[in-house]
Amino acid sequence: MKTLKHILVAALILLSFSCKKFLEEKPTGFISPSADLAGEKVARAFANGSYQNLQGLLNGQSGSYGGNTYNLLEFMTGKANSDLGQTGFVNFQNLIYNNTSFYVDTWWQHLYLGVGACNNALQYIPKVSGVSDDVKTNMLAEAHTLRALFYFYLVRMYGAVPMVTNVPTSVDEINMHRTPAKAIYDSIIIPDLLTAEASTLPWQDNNGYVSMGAVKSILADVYLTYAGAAINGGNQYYAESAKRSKEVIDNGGYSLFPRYTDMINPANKNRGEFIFQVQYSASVPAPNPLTPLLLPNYAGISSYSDEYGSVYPTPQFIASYPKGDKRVQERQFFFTKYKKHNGADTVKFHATYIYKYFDSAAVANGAKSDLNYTLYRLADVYLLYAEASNRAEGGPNANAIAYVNAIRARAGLAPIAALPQAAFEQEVWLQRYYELCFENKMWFDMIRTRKVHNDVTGAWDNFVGHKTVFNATFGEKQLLFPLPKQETDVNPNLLPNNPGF
Amino acid sequence: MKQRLIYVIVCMLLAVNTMAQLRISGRVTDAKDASPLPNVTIQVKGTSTGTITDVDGKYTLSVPDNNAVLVFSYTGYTPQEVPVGAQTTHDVALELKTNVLTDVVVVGYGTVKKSDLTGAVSTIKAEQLMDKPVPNVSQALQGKIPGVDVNINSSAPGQTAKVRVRGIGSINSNIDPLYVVDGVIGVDANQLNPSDIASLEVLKDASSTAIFGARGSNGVILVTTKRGIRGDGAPRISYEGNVNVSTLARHVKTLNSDQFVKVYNEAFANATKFDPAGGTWAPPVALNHASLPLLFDANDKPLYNTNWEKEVYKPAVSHSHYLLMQGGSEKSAYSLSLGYLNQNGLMIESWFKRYSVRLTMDNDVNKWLTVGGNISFISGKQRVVSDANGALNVPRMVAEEVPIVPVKYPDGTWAGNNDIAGLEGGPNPVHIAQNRYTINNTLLAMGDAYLLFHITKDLDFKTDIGYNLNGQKNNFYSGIDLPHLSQDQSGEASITNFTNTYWQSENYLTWNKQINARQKLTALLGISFQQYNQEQSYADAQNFTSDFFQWHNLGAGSVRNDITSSDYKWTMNSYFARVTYNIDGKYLFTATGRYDGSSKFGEDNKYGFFPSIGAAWNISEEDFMKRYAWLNNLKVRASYGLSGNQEIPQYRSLAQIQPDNTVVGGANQASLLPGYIGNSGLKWERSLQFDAGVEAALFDGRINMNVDYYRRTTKDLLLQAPIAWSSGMVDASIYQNVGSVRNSGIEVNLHTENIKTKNFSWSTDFIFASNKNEILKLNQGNADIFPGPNFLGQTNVLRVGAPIGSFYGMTRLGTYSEDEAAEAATQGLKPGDRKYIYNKDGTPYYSIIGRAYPKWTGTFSSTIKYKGWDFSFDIRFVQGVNTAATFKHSTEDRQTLANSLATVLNAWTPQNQNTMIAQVRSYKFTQDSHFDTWWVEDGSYIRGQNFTLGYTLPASFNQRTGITKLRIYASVQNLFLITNYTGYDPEVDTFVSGYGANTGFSQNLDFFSYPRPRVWNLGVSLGF
Repeated sequence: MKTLKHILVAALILLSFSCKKFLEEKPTGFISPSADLAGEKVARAFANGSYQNLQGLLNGQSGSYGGNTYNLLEFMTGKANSDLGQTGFVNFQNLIYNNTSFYVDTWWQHLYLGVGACNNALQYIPKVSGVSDDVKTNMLAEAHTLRALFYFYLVRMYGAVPMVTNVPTSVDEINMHRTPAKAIYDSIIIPDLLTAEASTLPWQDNNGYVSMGAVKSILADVYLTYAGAAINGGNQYYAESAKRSKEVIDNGGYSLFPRYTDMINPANKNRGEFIFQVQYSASVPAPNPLTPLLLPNYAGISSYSDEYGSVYPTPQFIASYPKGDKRVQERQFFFTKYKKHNGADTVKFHATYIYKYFDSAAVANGAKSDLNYTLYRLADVYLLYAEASNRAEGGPNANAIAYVNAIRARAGLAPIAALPQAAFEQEVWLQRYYELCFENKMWFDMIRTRKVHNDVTGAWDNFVGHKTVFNATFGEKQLLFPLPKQETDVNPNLLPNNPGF
Repeated sequence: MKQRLIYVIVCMLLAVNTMAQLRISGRVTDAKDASPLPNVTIQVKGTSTGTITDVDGKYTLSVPDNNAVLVFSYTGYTPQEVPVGAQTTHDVALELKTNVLTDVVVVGYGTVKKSDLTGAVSTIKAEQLMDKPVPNVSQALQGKIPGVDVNINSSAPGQTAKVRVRGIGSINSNIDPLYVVDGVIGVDANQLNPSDIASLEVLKDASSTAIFGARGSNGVILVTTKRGIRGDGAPRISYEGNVNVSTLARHVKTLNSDQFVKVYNEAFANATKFDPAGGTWAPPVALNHASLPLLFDANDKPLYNTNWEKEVYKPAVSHSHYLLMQGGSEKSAYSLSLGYLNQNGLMIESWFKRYSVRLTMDNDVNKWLTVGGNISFISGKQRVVSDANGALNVPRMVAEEVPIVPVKYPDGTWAGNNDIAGLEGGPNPVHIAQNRYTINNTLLAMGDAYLLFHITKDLDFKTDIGYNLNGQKNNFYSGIDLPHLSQDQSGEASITNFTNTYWQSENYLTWNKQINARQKLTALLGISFQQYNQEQSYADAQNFTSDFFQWHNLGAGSVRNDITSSDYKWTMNSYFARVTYNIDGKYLFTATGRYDGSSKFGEDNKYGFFPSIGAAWNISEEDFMKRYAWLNNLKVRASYGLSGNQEIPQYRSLAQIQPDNTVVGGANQASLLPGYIGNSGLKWERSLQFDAGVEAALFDGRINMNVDYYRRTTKDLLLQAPIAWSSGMVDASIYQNVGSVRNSGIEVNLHTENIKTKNFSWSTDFIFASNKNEILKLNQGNADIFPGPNFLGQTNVLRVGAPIGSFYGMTRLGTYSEDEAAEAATQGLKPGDRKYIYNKDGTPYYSIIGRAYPKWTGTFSSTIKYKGWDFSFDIRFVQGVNTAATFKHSTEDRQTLANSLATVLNAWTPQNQNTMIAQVRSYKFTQDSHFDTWWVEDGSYIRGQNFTLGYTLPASFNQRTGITKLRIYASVQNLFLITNYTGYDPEVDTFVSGYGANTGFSQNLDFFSYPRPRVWNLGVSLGF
């Protein structure tokens, strides 16, 4: 018995000390940066990560009701109204927004999430084994293109921003100073796109991946902006821009949709006129948030319990369209009435609402919009070409005129003849307003050209000094958004903020 | 023990010599509960003749004659003298001494006599702990111990409270104290049936907590549960039962129907003023019979005036039952308990049910081996109706549902804000409570098994395997007809499963050595391993054809919305030692050390060493003090030491690439994202604490006092700090060791026995604690950190020199008057808009505008006993604190979207320009609402915590029935609340949501709370 006791005690004490490696962490839910990466599927997943935050371009605004990043770029134009106070509309209507206002934080956050995911892809795809160089080159081209796109948004909205090109590994790396916008173009946006341009990506991609058409469309836009008022990069970039848009038009295999409503038919996603879109799917479900966002507020016309009426055009903007323009006719780009969801009555709205993202299937049933959100389509590229070539060549060439007329023809407008350079440019700008309105393009056009079309006088006002229909006046301050307070609080190296904030 | 042995021997010897004397017999019981007291010494006064009672409290003794006087004495009880007289039977009931120094106190890995303690340890016994009906131990602790601050932040049934020992020593790693239940470390004691708790010790200073090293810096709560009783008497059976009714204690006034219609119409009339385009504005739908025939009569008067408070907060009846059997033989002891709790909340459809079974066993196998263990099975079911903070949830809709709609229309269909176009459209709260809920099921097995070897007379070895197996299944459903919640999804159901397993292996040697008559040494040496695993899965389905299936069959939903799973593990490995040295019971020394390793930290920082020392001097034991007979006890003690904290999530030192999904080509595709930055240098948070205390007992224990001063400096604070979004990390935060914080304060515990006679006694207790918290240092040049939780911008700031829990926001001065139109215009505002302080450059001025933690707290309680009657009360004081009524955002600043607080009747008008509330207007022109001084209110309060009246039936009744104890009592909790706070209750935190949510900074943020009820209770205690 006594022996047993000693054996037991000794055994237990010894047992207590016999564990090794007890404190090692072996995570199962994520991949360590030092892990071995192998196989095309892994590389593809890294590349896919670059796409993830494109949906951030239509991201809900926390703290708001009916607020979405989309709203900001429309509210700013002075050509949009809102049914909702909780979108912060009044601040933008009166141009009294600041660094804590809605949207400036969410835009920044999601654009950098996009940059981060692209950096992640660019950093790890080369390390994945068992994938051919050709495949890797094209995947890297996708990530480069998207990183350029995210930075393109950042510099247009915020000007100088931190230039993050790696996945950071410590806090010290994160708290960067700002890099001037021109340097971001020169060292990231343009080189990234040129790298992508050298790949063998196909001209079109019906799944929604980055295609050569997308690469060159973005590059055309980037060069045009780079040459424009914000950067004044040099006149030669108009030619670089025109070269890319022409290639898209000539080689891309894209064609204008015959009907405007073809754009709101989910069957046409990633094809036809569409060059590059943010992907949504009702079946995943990952529905497009714009459909309910732009329905007239509480009109009772849809299966959505939230019909926000978050953004809709001012009557002055609608009135500025030329007579007979099909785009302002009922249920083309806009609508003013619709049948009641439960009943046959027609609801007449108190204002004109946007029909561009009206997924009729989702409205009728299910409340899940299957539409993509378009970033580049052929009509846009036609107009990019017309504007760039007009500048590059000192006047409109025959193609430029033809492309503008193709857009006019679809709207039921008579063709234009050759115009002087300045007049042609204004016609192109105007067509951009009419064709691409409420596609988050107009604000960038305004700050790129430093001109604003005055819907009341019909004149092209200078950006600074333009008075909106809400009696607010654009100033220098409006050229760049403030960096969000939450970001400058965490990283004071970003201060001072943009002028006026 | 030795003493008793000597008595026994002496008695036996004497017995031989006194054969021919008087034989006296009887039974000694506890005066409180009439339970038998074994081992009571009975001595014939003035002689060495004596005996002790047996396990049933019985004794026989021979005395020389009937002039003899018997002295009954027992450790911890007041001695009693009884003249023998003519009687040969003497039954005696001994009274427990209060605050006796001979009490044994549980400390980590052992027990110690209270008089031998060198640290700050507070003890609570079962009857103090369970003086009111509460579902768990954290709620039971409120106001009981100085320096233990308990916030009951939600009154939802089954909700646990937040417990903090000596302030916030940590920024946002877990600030809960470490619970140790019968030696099982880190289990959630709140899941236990609190009636199973026999006693509870709170270890507060470093000398006491350091034995738990790594995890002790937020204090340690040792829970000792009820066990069997050795002896061969009949088992003791006891029953505790109570039934209570919860009623709404306070009201928050909202607009009635007529007021709502008036404000609504005024708001649209005012819209033109705020419309930059100067448009005229009409309501989307006119509030009249023509537009809304179901809601207005032919005269355009509202048909309904629904009081949503009344519809939702209804009196609710709860009851609980507890049955305990304790028994044993000389060599073994066992206990068995059964518990049932059925708690119904004030909010309709919210409830909590718990069934508990507990079994303990201790058995001496032979002279050198004792084995034993215990097991608790607990099954809990909780129905939660109030979901995420900020959502259109039940408490929010009580305030925001408009009074002009009924609960249901005459045809039985649900009514709601959605029926009036233009309103935000939240369903009515009764509708939500019925059709949107989560049922949290918990199944828990917890306990330990031990082997205790008595190796030699002085040396023991104990090996103890503790475990906690916890399964949770949370079933959520939200109905197909709830607009804005789940109507678009056509119903949503989800199931979340957790399987948590924890085990520990604790092995230690204890050496108790009486070196000589004066010196005593004890030593402890041990090793411990702990491992925790969690596996989690979640599935969410939408698009149901009807409400029939709910969560029961997720397959019935045609949209499989989300599926996730995860698992993780953390481990600890520790070595610990303690030496105590005692000279004459006057000079006491303790040295403790623990070397702890945790898997959570960086490769090179896994281990930390946590030493402490403590010393005490029992001054009253000194000879020169003996002449002060009125001074029963005077002790001073001091301790200093280090303890640690590792309560952060696992894998936070590692950089992470995180899998996700993104839509391409109409389907989800796998993606990989930069998940978390990692911090390989992550290390232990360390608290250095100094404590000094004085304990005194005067006038035969009529005055007892305990005063402690402490200063705890926590370094290398573990903080989940936000990082710049430009990092591109999905998790834009990093766990870091940032700076330090100091908590210092005093704790006072004063107990007086004002009147003490045979039939009447009156005692009072005063508990006071004051804690000063100050951030000493932060990283990056002491830059402010804004840790969230955000509510329309920052709400909290961490700033050097300020305390943790500082509210941060704008300063509202009032509203702009018409005379100030020009000034208002500089901000793009108009008369009638809120007026704030701005910086010189016109940017908003932000500053610290309040504190979430009080300057001091206190409890005043008193007990009066007269014969069988007892009356007691507890009044709790919490002073120097703010509560942020953030609900004012949606109920004062959003007219025409929902109902408003009645305070908007005092809004700005040209005739009422001196007001804090902006002019009402259509929601379209609502301004930014800011976290400001108008929301951050005085949150100080005085609460009538508990009032109890009880009656214990006399012994005569008991003898007839065989019942040993019967007490019936009535009590009321939250009888009154004195406060300036305008919400339901200033003790609140509505940001607590979900499993494992970080709630470090959400204390006293109120965005529609579950109101605290007044509880009327009837109870009975019964013993056989």
